[in-house]
Amino acid sequence: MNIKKVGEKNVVYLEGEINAQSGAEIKQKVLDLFSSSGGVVLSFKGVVYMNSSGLREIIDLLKNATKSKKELSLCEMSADIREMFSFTGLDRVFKIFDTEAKALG
Amino acid sequence: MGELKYTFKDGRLKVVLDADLSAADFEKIAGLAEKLEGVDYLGIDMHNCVYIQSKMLAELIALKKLSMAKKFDIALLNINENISQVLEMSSLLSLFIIEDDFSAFNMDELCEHFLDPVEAQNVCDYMAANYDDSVREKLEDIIRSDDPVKAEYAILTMGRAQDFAGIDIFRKELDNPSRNVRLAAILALGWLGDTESKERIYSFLSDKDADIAEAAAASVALLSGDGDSEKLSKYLENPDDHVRRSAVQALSLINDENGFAYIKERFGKETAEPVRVALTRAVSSFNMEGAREILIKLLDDPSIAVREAAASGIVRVGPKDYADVIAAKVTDKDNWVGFFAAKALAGICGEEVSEKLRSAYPVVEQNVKLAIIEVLGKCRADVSGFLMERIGDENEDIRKEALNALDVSGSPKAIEVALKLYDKDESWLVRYKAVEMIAAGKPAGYRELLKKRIASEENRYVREKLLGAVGE
Repeated sequence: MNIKKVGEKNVVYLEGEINAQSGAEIKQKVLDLFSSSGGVVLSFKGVVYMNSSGLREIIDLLKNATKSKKELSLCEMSADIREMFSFTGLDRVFKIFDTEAKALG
Repeated sequence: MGELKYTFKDGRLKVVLDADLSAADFEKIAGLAEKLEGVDYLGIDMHNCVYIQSKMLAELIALKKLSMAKKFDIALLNINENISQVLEMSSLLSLFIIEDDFSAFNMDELCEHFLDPVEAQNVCDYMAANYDDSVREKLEDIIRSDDPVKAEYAILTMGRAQDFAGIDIFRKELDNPSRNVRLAAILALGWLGDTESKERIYSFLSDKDADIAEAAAASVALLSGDGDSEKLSKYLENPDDHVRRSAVQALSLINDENGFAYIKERFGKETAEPVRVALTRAVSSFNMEGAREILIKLLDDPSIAVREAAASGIVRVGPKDYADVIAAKVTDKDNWVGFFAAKALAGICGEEVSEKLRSAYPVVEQNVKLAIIEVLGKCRADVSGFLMERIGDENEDIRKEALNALDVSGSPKAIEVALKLYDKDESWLVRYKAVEMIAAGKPAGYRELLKKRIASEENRYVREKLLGAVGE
């Protein structure tokens, strides 16, 4: 995954498939970023597949973000990935933006 | 009229107006904004105000002028429908930033917003972001009360805030007589990963209420472990379409090999179209061997909805070695097969496939023609010559789609063509698209051109587009 620093925030560009393994890697990386930045934006632009194990890791990230008062936003989801968040009601839980620019505020 | 209530921090001046506001209040705000050093934002909270008299509008305009002179933003916060309408009728609404700002409300007032369908989710987000013990206590009180609408949002807020202390409460609320409260509890338990509730949640999966069944399926998927795909597969035999559809979505989300096998197997038995569409979408969610072949085969399905889902699925997973096979279907005798085959190539066709699409164009029906033009706009080959020829077509839909495709392809000719059509094409659809492209591309002198066109444009939609583009 690529990471870009924009002001106080880091944008993490996720790619390919988010499952238990890649989700755990993403979580570890983002947790490291939380310690050095004001917030993290996860860009789903390159994500084609995601399963419930991967989704659980993203929820776990939110738990950590909430606890440490860090901002976590999601953006650039395909209709299929967005549908997963909508199906599980997680679109009410996460801050989801259509574009990276909007997520960065 | 009492003293002005305000806060000023980090350049942000926030004033809360009382219900009995008067023109003098606005004069006081102006005086304050002039007196304080370094104001870069002025927020006027009007949540106490029921109405604004027209004589006060002049004071508001004066404030706006002051904000422009002193270069600070001015926002009207928490205005109600009445005030919004007065501002709109007097064309003042667009002069101000209109925002919600819940920081001015106490806990009881905030929770009253749960009854407002437009605001409820925003309040939920605000409370979750500012969550502490006092918020939790208030939300627990609400859940214990007998107001199901507030209880629903109280549960969602606690779940949204990842408050694990709420788990016991949510488990109890699974028996609440209100379906909205049960629904919220099912979702929140899934969000919080409460695997102990999983068996109980399974019991909602065959609920006659489609929303409850879907929420249960989603939470089961979030709480899933070994064996859940097998258990969910039993629901694929349920007599209710919505239960089978929810089970398919859950299997798709769990996304393991067993789930894929159950979904493939179900295709042979399933006859209900909405469930077959869900199965088709589910196939494209699996990164597994055979998924692409199933989707290509489904482009020939008797159901248009299934073919559409298959085409979207192919775009998602990519055609890999099957681009030629799909391109060959574009000229199928069933024009809807051709239509969705063309759609399936969106964004993935190179020079060779684009050549095949262009060759197919003269012999296909109009819906397939439109799909081909759309796809060519997204392909990696230079097709601007082909698209330019379509601009001269007698059919307005073809011309509009060709103009759009030129735009999407990033062709340098796109603006040039838009400038030729925005005032000459006989179709308002084409003129509308052309104006949109010109406004976005901003070629030299575009404002003057569009402004000049306003007077002679007869179509109201194009006129509105023109007015918007020149900022009037």
